[in-house]
Amino acid sequence: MTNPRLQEGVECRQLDAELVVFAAASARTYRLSETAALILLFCDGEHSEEEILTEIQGLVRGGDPQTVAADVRRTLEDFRAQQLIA
Amino acid sequence: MIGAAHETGFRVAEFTGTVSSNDAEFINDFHRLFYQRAEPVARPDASYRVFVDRRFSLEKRHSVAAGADQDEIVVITAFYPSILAALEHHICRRIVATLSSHCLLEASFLSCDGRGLLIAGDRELPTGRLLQVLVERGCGYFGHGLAILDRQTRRVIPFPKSISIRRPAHPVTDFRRQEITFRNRERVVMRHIPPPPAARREGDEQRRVDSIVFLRPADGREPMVSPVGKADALERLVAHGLGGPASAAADFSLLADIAGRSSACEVHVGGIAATSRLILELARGTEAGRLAASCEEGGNE
Repeated sequence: MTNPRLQEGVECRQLDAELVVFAAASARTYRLSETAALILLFCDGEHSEEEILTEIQGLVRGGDPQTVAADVRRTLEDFRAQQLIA
Repeated sequence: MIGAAHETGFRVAEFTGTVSSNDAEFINDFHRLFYQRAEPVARPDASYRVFVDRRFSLEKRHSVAAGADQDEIVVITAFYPSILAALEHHICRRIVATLSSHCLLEASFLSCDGRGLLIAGDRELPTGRLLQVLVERGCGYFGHGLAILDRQTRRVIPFPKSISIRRPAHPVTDFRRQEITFRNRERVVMRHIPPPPAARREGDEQRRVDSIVFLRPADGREPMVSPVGKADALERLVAHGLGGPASAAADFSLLADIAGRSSACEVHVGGIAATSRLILELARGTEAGRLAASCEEGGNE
């Protein structure tokens, strides 16, 4: 399985504390939570899904590791469903 | 075949159009609507032939039809104000399709004491009347209904079209039936305000977006204001974009820059006079404007 990476035409812009993502293919904008933004920023083609999971678990402290893992996987699935990542 | 004795050209940024008509007065009225004249060019982006028949008739018809090479409106009517509205709508659609090198927003633009003010709102809101009052109170006018942004300079290019105000159409009595009925009761027509003096239109005025106002309907007469975060402003600006998929990424980048450096708020439109006063205070960044914009629930007291 290839490492997650942003789809072509997906633009990100941080404004204040929020990440706004624009998908040219669907002409839709998304405003991501802080954690979702972190996950997306790791989708650079350099990190595997497991590596992203490890990174996020290291950044999110105090959370149940299994819950964090489930959240990260679900978020990545959402990104794929919205065609933000390949 | 229309005997078009009068012909004229008009220009919006790089977009050029030609209108021909058998009626000189119609041509003059057209130029109060799209007021930047241009010499008719050999290959305009759009051309229209308008036939005005001033003889009274109950069989008035008009239609917008695509010609073989260029769009044309074939009109037979004595009541051409409604045709001007149709023409305006058609030309705006052609501009959006043609000016792909610019970022186009469904919004209006004014300058207020040297600060650029972008106003975006629902079509049903009385933006025309609001703009008219703001211009009367000294704002510089850059365009109503369409904001044209240069992607290189990040500045607004004037949209040389008069302010258009929607108003209900007069009901048309249908005498042909046994009973008198009224047709088109719900129709609206446009009233076109003559362009402001040149000094209030173009020149040295600020063409950079400093403030953004998103208009919303209000329940009562009193206008209300609430702040809009930068991410929210960007999302709303994208929603007002008129560009196609090819330019979507470039437009997003430009709009993100604008949202990042501008102040934005939502104004619930109440009475026109009170709303225009509030917008002026917001645009000028007065203490009252800052206070209004900082209120979470939007109270203006």
